[in-house]
Amino acid sequence: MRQAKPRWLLSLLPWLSGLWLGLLALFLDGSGAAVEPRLDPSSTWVIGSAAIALVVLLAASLQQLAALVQAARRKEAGARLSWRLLRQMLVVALPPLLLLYVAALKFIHSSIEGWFVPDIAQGFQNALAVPQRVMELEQQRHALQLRSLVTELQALATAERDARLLQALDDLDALELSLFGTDRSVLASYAADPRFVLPRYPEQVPASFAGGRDYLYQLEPRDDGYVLHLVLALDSSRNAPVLQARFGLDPVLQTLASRIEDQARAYQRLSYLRGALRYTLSAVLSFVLLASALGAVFLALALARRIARPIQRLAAATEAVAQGDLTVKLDEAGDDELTALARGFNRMTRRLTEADQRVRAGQAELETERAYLAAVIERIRSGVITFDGRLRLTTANSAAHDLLEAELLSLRGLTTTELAAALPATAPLLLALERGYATGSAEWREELALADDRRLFLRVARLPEDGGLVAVFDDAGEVGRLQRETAWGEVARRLAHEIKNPLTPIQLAAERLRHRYLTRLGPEDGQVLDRATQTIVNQVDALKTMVNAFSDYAKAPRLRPERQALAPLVQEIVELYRGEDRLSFQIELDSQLPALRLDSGRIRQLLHNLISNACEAQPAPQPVLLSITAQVVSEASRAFVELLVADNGPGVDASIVERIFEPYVSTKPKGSGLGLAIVKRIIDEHGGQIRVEQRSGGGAQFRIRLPV
Amino acid sequence: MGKTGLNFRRVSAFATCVVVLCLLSGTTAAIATPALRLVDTEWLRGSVSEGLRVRLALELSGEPLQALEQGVALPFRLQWRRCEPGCGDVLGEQRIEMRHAPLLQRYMLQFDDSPPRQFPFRAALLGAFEQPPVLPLAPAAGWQVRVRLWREGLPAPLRLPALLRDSWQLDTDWQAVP
Repeated sequence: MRQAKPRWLLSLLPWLSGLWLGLLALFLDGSGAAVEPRLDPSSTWVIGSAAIALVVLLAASLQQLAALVQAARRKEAGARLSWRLLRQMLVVALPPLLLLYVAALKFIHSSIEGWFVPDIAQGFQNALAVPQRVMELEQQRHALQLRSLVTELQALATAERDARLLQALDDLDALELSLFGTDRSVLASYAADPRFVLPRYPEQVPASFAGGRDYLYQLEPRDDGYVLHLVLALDSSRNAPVLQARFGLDPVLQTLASRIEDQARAYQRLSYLRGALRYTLSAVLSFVLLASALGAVFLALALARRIARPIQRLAAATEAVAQGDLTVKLDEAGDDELTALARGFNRMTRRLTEADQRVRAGQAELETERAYLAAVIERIRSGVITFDGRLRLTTANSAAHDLLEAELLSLRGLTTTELAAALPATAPLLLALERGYATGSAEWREELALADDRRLFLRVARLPEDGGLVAVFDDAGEVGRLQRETAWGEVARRLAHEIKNPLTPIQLAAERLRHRYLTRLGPEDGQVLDRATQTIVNQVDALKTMVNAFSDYAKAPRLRPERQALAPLVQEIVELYRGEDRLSFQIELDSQLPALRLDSGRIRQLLHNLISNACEAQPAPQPVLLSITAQVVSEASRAFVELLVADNGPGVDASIVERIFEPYVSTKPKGSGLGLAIVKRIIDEHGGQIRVEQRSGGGAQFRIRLPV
Repeated sequence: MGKTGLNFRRVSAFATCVVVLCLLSGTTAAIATPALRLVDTEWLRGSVSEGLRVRLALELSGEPLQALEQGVALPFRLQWRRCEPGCGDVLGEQRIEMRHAPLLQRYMLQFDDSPPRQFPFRAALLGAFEQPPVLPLAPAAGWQVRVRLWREGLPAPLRLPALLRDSWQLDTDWQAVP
């Protein structure tokens, strides 16, 4: 606020200066011919304040002009429009001002000259000459009288001279008659007017009688009129005695003479002052012109910038919108065309904002769908790889990594030829893609064998945008396994259903026979009956066990996963088998294992089946040593908990290792043949992976990976 | 400052030129011989007229002379002040007026309210002007005197030209009385 106040005052100064100059222009009076001017243009404070105001206005105008020129050079919005407006306003304002100035000057000069006609001046001179002539005649008459008196006085003695002088005062109607000696002393003096009682030697005495003038005279202006003052020398000697006389003039003559003199002098003075009057009026008019011109320039600058300001704001707002800022709003106050433009602009930005929001929502939806699709592709078991129109690898999902056993993402951008060179094992697949691409087919299917004899089911489709390819492939062995698994599941379901029902009646009938007839028959027949019925009951039990296993395999219960730790489940199952003499465990579970989404019942079943499988595989009485380890691993940017269950048994027969997780694939003498199939199913249900490996020191190792 | 930087430099250059021109004009004016000079001063003690006698020198020409001949009265002020050591305001002044009386065809010279003196010739008028009456000052150190044309006494149309034109510069500076 402290800094804003001086700036506010500074911005007000030019306006105050302009106002002051306007007031001066209105009230300055350069004539003053008759009365004192209201505002004297020659007074120091007027000139000083006008100069200061002019400088302030000039400086403010120059500053604004310079700022406008620089803004126009930088091509700022609104600057060129302001410059154009300024030029046009000045063209409208200044020429008429100049024309008015020139016309006014001419008018003043010609008018002033017109006031002073030479005839009038001559008339005043003529009028003044009349009293001058009358007075001259009077002084000549009085001079003549005095000359006669002097002649008389020169012939008289002193006493008589004084009396004659006194007499002459009345005779001549003089105000004073004084006689001075050669030493300037007063010889005699008589006065009819108390003002002249004390005579004074005249300042000037006739120097000579040359030119016929032996006297001097002057008119003395007094408060009550003029007095004719004559001085006569009595002789022509150097310090001659002098006679001084004063006479009054006719009152009417004096009045008229005074008036004529005043008027003549006034006109003469006015006539002389017309030059100064022209000069002063011209100076005042020039000042008014300068003040008006400066004021016009300053006002034009202010108005031009004011008019251009809304357009400047509009340009700035447009630029902001172009830069992406749709929040900018223009002021809609007012009712002119610029306000309508501002309203239109605000409407446009509102619609742009809404459209932008819709686009963003659409993009977000698209992104969501893309992410969903990517997640689906990433999670499906089939390998999916895509190529662009030049057969360069663009994407590959995790299943493709696993199936082709390669880090395909690090090879993005390579062509099929380059990929085949980098991954020789995948060459048949890539060649198949090249062949299909070359034929221009929209889609095709085929089964091919990789270099390591694994078979793949391949389905390829051409992408519509750039003519690239999307290839989906599955492990043919896995597909067959899944098909067999599905078929076994259906068989198991049907068998379980068809066989389970009659087993109980058979068992009950055998037990009833045994109960009814065993005590009635003789020892030999009794033994036969006993053995037969016992065999029936035992085999029915075995069949029930087998049927239950079929049933468990056929209809797996609905998974109820919960986020929980794996280690407690492992410990729980291990504790159940602690009592087994020939079974020992070596447990190493990472203490930082993350929680997993697990169905605890199914995991327990999984562990139980693996432990049972190890026990069944190891012929008795050899001890069974089970090693269970768990740790976190990463593959293809995904984290897994890897559970290793290894035994010291005979290992896995190489002839069945590919199908070991299928139902009824087993080399064990005992067991339903469904244990590992159930384990595989549980792993699949949890989205994990399982693999069996032959241990180097003997025994089998099951590598289970569950996703974090 | 950035936006008006260039403007500020130009304005400064312009102002500098104006100042230089004004100084030059002032210097030029100072070199010219003044029309009115205070020639000397003298303390009068123990005589009939006790006080300060001042001698002036006036060369009346050009517009002031023309104005006098055309009936314009020329008023002057003979002023005095004390400086001890700082100089105060004007303590007193003697009014002097010279004019031409067309009826009498004489030049009139009046000091304060004393009766005007008549002179048939301009030379006599100027001679009398250059020897004004003794000023009623007590002899002491620190007195200063000056004479100036009293422009406020001129007719209004003449004041602005009298302010601006060189021929009307009938003023002396303050001069210390020894």
